[in-house]
Amino acid sequence: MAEIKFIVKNISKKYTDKVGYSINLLNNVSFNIIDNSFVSILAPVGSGKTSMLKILSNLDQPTSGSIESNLNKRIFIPSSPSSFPWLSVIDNIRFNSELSESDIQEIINKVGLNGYEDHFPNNKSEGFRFRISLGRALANKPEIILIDQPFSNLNTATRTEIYSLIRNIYLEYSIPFILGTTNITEAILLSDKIYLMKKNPGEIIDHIEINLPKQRNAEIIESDEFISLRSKIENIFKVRADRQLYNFSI
Amino acid sequence: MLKKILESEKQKVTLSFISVILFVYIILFEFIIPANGILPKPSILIDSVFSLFDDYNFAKSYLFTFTSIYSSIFISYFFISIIGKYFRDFSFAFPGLRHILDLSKYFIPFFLVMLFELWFGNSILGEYLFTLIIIVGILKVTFFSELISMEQEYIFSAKSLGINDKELFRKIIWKTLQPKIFNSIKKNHIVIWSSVFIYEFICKTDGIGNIFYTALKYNDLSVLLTLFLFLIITFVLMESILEIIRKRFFYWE
Repeated sequence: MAEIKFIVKNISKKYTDKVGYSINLLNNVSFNIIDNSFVSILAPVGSGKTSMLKILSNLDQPTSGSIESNLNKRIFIPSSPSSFPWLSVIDNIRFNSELSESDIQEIINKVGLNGYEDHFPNNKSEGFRFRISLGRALANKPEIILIDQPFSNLNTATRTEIYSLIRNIYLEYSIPFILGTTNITEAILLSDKIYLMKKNPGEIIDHIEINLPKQRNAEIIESDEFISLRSKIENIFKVRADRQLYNFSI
Repeated sequence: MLKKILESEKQKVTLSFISVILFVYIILFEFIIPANGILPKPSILIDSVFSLFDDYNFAKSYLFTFTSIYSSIFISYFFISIIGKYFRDFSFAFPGLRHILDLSKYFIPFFLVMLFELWFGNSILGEYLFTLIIIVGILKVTFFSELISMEQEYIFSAKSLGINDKELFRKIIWKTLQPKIFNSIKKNHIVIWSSVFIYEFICKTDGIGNIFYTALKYNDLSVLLTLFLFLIITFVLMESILEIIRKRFFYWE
């Protein structure tokens, strides 16, 4: 039987800018997360994805609305920078963790950082730093991981590697993930379900179930099913969000 | 060591420049115009080194000023690290305070010198207190401005990992600010030296500023120049030491 992990009910977020205008960033956003699924929130730049993820992570409060969830350990991975530059790789992953040294080493191996334990994150690539953040999140026994578009500055090769890493970690650990992204390909490749959000104000306009195989690689992008999902999403944005799609990276 | 210095192009140019100046100075003032009212003869300058130690008690004064500056830097740094958490709460309660502090760093030293001259005269305590206030003031301004502009992502990451408020300051905020605070010591190194020098000059405490005052009173140009050279050497040496400390302990900036 399906278990509801997250119920987001009519979340709104308003703030006042420097000039004094009241801005309605999120408006009555509602959705559910069922079982340990991988959910993406696909939205254009400036639609309030980061605010949304912060609210879901308990790092910010909504102006109105509520979240019902029994997941207490919600770990948020911000876009950048997300690893502490004063700590080595192993100390970053060990940060606030109660796991044993052997478990920490196992996580280091899983995120592909073995051999780099004593390296420091400064002057390293975004991909390297993301691996540290993911490892640190896993070492803190998360009940859910929320990722805020961390792949925007990665090159294509690294991006493909990281997609595969995240998907494998998701399948192995069987914990729910929420990804905030502006990239359609990324959202389809990683998720089981995508919520489409428009901006001004941020509102969920639709959702799409992704029924691709659990194990996915970059080749799936060329499959008919993938292409059809992609055009379906593009059409939804064309029709229901005044072509905000063109603000996306595809 | 010398080989290492000569390897750097910038240092080569500096060294050549100093050598040329020294050569011109020796030739011009030792042999061509030894009697002049501009600069003393190089041989007199060498004699003045001994005079500085024997007649002006330079060793004691130097140690006094040096200790006053660097022990105050050390104490101020730890003071900020301890009470920084409360500064943080205060900075969020009064965000405009940063601008007032920013402005105040220019006139507070001069105002303090006058007050301390009246209150403490030439006491050691007065100078230590003055140096501490100046350095804490400088570090506090840096602390406030860097706190406001610091990367919030570190805080969000740490909070979502379950860090409490007390640990958040010690493990994240202070760690982020540490290199910036240390850089502000480096950046304001000359301001600190100048403030203490002016204090000693006006309040006539036992430091180098007082030697400068006495030498000026007796028109002892050669001692003034030697003193100036000693100060430059100390300053350059300490700048290098601070840079080594920065690279060793604050490498993440």
